[in-house]
Amino acid sequence: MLAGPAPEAAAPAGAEPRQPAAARWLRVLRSPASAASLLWLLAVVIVSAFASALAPDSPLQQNLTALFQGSSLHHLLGTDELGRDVLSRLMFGGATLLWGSAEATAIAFALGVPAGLLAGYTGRTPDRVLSWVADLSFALPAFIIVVALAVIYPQNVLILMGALGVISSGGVLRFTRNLTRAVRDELYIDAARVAGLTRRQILTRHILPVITPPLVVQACLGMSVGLIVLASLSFLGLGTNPETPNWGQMIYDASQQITTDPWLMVPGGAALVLTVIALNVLGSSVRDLAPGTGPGSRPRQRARYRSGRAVLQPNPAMPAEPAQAIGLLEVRDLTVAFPAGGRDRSQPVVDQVSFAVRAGETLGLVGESGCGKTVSVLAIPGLVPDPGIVPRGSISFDGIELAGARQQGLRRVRGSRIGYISQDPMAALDPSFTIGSQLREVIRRLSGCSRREAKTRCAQALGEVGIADPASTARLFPHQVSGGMAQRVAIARALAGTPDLLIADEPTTALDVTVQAEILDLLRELKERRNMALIMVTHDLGVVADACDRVAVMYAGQIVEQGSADEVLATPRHPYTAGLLNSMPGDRPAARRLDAIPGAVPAPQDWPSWCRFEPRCPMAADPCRAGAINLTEAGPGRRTRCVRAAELAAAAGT
Amino acid sequence: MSPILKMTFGRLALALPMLFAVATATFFLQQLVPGDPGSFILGKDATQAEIRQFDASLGVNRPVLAQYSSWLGRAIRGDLGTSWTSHAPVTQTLLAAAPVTLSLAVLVMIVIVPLAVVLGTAAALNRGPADRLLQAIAGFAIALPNFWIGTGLVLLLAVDLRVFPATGYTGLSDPAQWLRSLALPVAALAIGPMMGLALQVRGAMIDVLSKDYIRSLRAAGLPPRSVLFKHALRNAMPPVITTIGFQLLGLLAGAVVIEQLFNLPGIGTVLVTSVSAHDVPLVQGAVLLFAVVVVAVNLLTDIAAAVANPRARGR
Repeated sequence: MLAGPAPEAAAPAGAEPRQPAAARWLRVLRSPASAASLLWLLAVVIVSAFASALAPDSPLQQNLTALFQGSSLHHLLGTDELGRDVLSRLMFGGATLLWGSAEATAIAFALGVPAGLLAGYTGRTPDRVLSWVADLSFALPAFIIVVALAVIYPQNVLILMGALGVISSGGVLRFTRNLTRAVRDELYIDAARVAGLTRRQILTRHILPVITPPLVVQACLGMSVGLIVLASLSFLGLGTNPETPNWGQMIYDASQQITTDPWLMVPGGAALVLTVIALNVLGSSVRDLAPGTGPGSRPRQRARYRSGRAVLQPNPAMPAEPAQAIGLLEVRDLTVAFPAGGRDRSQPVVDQVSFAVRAGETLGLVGESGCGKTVSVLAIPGLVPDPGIVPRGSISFDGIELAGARQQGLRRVRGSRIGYISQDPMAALDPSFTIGSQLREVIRRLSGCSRREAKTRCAQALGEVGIADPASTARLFPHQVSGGMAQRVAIARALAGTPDLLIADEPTTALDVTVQAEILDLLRELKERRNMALIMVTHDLGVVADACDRVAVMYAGQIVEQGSADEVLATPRHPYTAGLLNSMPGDRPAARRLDAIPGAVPAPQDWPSWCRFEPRCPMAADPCRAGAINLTEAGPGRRTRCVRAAELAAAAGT
Repeated sequence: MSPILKMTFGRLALALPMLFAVATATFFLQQLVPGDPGSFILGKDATQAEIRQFDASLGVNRPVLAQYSSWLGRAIRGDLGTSWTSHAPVTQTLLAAAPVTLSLAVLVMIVIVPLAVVLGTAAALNRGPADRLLQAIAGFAIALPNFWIGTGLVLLLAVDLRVFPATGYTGLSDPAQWLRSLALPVAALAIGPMMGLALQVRGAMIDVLSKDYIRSLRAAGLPPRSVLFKHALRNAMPPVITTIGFQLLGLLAGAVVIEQLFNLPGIGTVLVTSVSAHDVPLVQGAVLLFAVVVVAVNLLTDIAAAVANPRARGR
């Protein structure tokens, strides 16, 4: 309220499954801090309400023979400059502040919430008019006006705080309007409207429950601002009557005696600060009720990796690949883990993955989302997201060991020797800089060339990825170009350092179907022209068939099948590969036994200690559940992690 | 027309009627004052004739609308009338006080913005005990009223250690003394907003650091220095700028209290003393000046946020 307009409301997570209201609100009490805050506020309210019965003394009773006394049995918190009992003044001193700030908050919400609902729900003219009124209130310096009003109504808490409430209602209006607007646009409101509910029913049953928690947060913050405003007014001598002491006034009185008795600053100050903190804590714990709303909510990602079964198993000594395949990059037993619940415990999400790529070769890394493909390839240039670690394994790139290498060493290969393209091209470009600016920065960093030279090279790089008008494209911001164009720019940036290896993480997934083929062609062409190695992460076996020489199929953090792309696609040796093949749109009749794979990839903590695909596998049998399954040879250059691979091969007639 | 210029004109078109509304409201504030100014200002000893003559000299006996139109006409030309107590022109009094409040606001901003960016970024980069400590301190600092901090600082640094003067203001003509006289007021005003801003920077940085483009820029080989200070900070700026705007407006209110506490002759002090003395023209002038500042700060915040965010500028 004091600081002007409330921040824009974050869109509420409206589609969350709803818990019973009471249970939801009780969750606030789970945290000790918010429970303590609620207790403190309750205590303050009760003491303030019954001060005359509870306080040991009258707050105004002077005793000029007992000034500035320290703590004693008679005066637990001592006495002040007029010999008044500090504890009694403290107990009486909350009521005015609480009433005043409650009044301001109540008025702000009584005016702002209905108007905000109206503006947000109906839109059009009421929205325009009310939003203008709200904007008008933001031009008002609220505290200044309240101070000015004290000319006319000196020490009249009712009117001064009422005025604060009226001015603040503009902020509540805009906040409510934005929340309502976001909820209104949710699908289920449309459904409710079609179902023939009245506007009143939609508002009370669907909109109010969703917007209430954020409004409660605002109310808590409003209360705490109100307390500070009124205490400040009292400190200025404008807020309240000396006959009814309050904490702000106690602080003022104490500040006048600061050299004589500094202790007097503490009781009033502590009471005020604790109450404000309690309101803020309560507000933020209510905000945490709604998952993922606003910048205040903390990422709960860590909690996902709960302590799981020990997944690390001894690996039988085995070369990563048949000898002749050893090339530019050799990844062996790569394991990536995230901290789990307990101390020193971690949950692998990539489990002893081994693969290799030669120069000029394309390796497809295939699997559903959640199999660990992206994390595996991010580990190569040392970009595993925090707080992930690589506890074991080796990443040998052209003779350099990258696993466990220092960031400085990794920077020497990033960009210049290993390029990376991420899934969503729009998100991969920095929105605050022009395309040319970020491309030139990378070029200059990697080559150390002059600005002028970088400009020429930037145009060349954009031309090389098929952008027709490099000069004008370079001046655009990422949001001004299409997804396909953005991906071309991302490719140009990844290739700026002429890397030997390009990692493309689902490079076509976020693009329109027509653009996908263009980007794939571009990648294939660039790879051939530069004789690069390419790792293509994808969930699409069509991409593998189109662009890859060899393929590694990943499931639940492990490689389950590996071999040349042609062979694996023609004769899968793992039921998961077969399942993926069958879920392709233009599927082949030969393997019609699995129409689709039922279920979903289990989360890392739920990985079975036996075959991880067994719960979803149509061929599951007792041996599958006997224990962990090893990757075994299944023909020249082929491997599979299935005990029934031979049956699969026989059934397919190969 | 560039989108930013267009937005600026749009906001100005909105701001002018607002200022007009505020001006009108401040004028009619005067009409709400009970009793006539003469009897209040001249005191009980004045005769009825003296009071009538005084009121006539102020022109408060004329019809309200006539008073309003002439007041408004003069206000547009920058003439806000004459103080009832000092008889000095209101505009002159306000202009004399403005540098004090401006010094406070500028110094506070110079202190809090860099510190908040450093603290918030450090917390965002080191999620752990240090981050939790910062959050706890911030929660406490935000709740501390500035007048309490101010009094504590006076006790510690002015009374006990005698490092800074407890009260009073030295003009810019003596920069060292000017800084010394403002050190404690600035500290009292800065602590809460600084920690609030640090939390905002922290949140924005955590959000930005998790973005895809940060990872992609690292993968492209940019050094951490450039990724963090050029790209991440730049993208964290729009929400931080908006918060800085709010903080600046909050400072106006804080300055009123802190100028009183430290006996600084700024606009806040003009406002509070004129309120106590029922000097209505001066109160009106101060409120109007604050309203102009609020409108200007809001406008500048919106422009700065738009400049910092290319996406807000449209295609």
